[in-house]
Amino acid sequence: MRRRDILLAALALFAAWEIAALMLNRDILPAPTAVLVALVEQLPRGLGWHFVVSAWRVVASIALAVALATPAGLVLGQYPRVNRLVAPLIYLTYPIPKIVLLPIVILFLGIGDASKIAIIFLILFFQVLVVVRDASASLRPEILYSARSLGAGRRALLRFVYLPASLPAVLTAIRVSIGTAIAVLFFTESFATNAGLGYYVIVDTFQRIAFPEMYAGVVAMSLLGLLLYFVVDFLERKLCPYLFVK
Amino acid sequence: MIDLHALTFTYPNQPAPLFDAFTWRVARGEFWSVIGASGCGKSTLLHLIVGLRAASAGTITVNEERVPRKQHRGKTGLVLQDYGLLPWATVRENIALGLRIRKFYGQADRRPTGADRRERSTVEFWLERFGLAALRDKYPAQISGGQRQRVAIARTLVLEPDVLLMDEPFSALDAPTREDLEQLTLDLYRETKMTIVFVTHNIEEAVFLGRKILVLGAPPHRSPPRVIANAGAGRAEYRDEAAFTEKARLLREMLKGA
Repeated sequence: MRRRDILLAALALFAAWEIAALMLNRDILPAPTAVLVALVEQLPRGLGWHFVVSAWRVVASIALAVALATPAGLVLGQYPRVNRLVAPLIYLTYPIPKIVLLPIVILFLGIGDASKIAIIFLILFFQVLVVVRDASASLRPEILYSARSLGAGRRALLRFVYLPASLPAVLTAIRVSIGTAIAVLFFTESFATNAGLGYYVIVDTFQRIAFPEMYAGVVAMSLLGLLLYFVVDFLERKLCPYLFVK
Repeated sequence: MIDLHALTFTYPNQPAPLFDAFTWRVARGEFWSVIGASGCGKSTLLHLIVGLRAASAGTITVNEERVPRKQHRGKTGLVLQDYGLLPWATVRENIALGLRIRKFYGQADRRPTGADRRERSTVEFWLERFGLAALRDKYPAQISGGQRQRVAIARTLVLEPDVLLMDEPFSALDAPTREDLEQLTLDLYRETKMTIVFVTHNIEEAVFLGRKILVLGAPPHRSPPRVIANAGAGRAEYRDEAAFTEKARLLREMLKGA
């Protein structure tokens, strides 16, 4: 996708919104121009801070999930015996909607950042674990044979074969999980906290009936998701250029 | 030199062994073809020699060193039909892989700058020698099968192997490319005096390349191995000579009998 096309799509969305707002003509749907003004005004007055708090929570969760799930997935992918032990456990726990564990996580970790990070971590951990396991288990044996014949032992195989082979899978797992991660973040921030975009939208502005500000919070949340998406795309182009050659 | 002594190997879940007290000896600097039908254990033989699989009994030594080789890791080159290139690495990076693995384990020269310079010049040398210089920044998916196989061969030669094992390396290539690479293999053999074991299921290829030919019939393979002397091999003109046709006929009959 080209940048110009993405920009055009954004403009089209805003135009549709503007028209809808004009036609409806009620304060529950402010025009995008009004929301943009509110966004710019509110950024230095707290919205920016809430954005940073939310971004920190979701980025910390992603980092933690990648850091723990990648080695675990590599181990499962390389040792079929360990995988046979663990696979039923993953099979059972993978489909659990992790958000329902939130009350339990809060009981153990409290209502601060830790419980919010932990619940998003749980969602991402399983996604990354499964794709890294599958990517390293499905490596063509010729690649392993030739790397080993060139002198690679277990450590060098990890460094030169398994890690680069699972990198695209990790990035894809993050990309497909970003939506869920932010949705869950929004939910966890909507109560028992006083920071984060979820708090800003649900607790602060919604209850004050400050509609343009509330919409500004929604836009900020969307921008957070979009920004993370862009970062993953950028990393993929930087780290896996071979996926983009013709 | 490659020395297999009373080698026994059985695949798990299989009743009969593939090799049963098999003894075979390749002298230093010899060029052998190994021929046999699919599934006869040709590839397994190479995997055993390079140390990818372990024999259940018997010994394998390569240049007086027990396999798997500890001191000279990566000194037994292996070239596969499927190339085994890293799809995420460029031609240059693929060729440098063995050297990077060596450096990773700290086997390379302790003076880092010297090692880096040598790595660059060795890789450059083989890029030029194999006509790959213009493709150095391409990924494997962007080049032809023949070019990929050149990269795979160059990648093993960078480590200055004393033994080169080739497992049906040209089977997937079209005829002109194949003959081109067969000639390249002969040229390399003349230049480096490496010991080469070339596995193929193609009778003409076996006769054209190997000064000695090991014929593998149906397993289990026992001693003594069936060997054909083929002194005429190793010259481009050999293909047009009567002796070549005669050897091919003999080999065809032996394989049929097996």
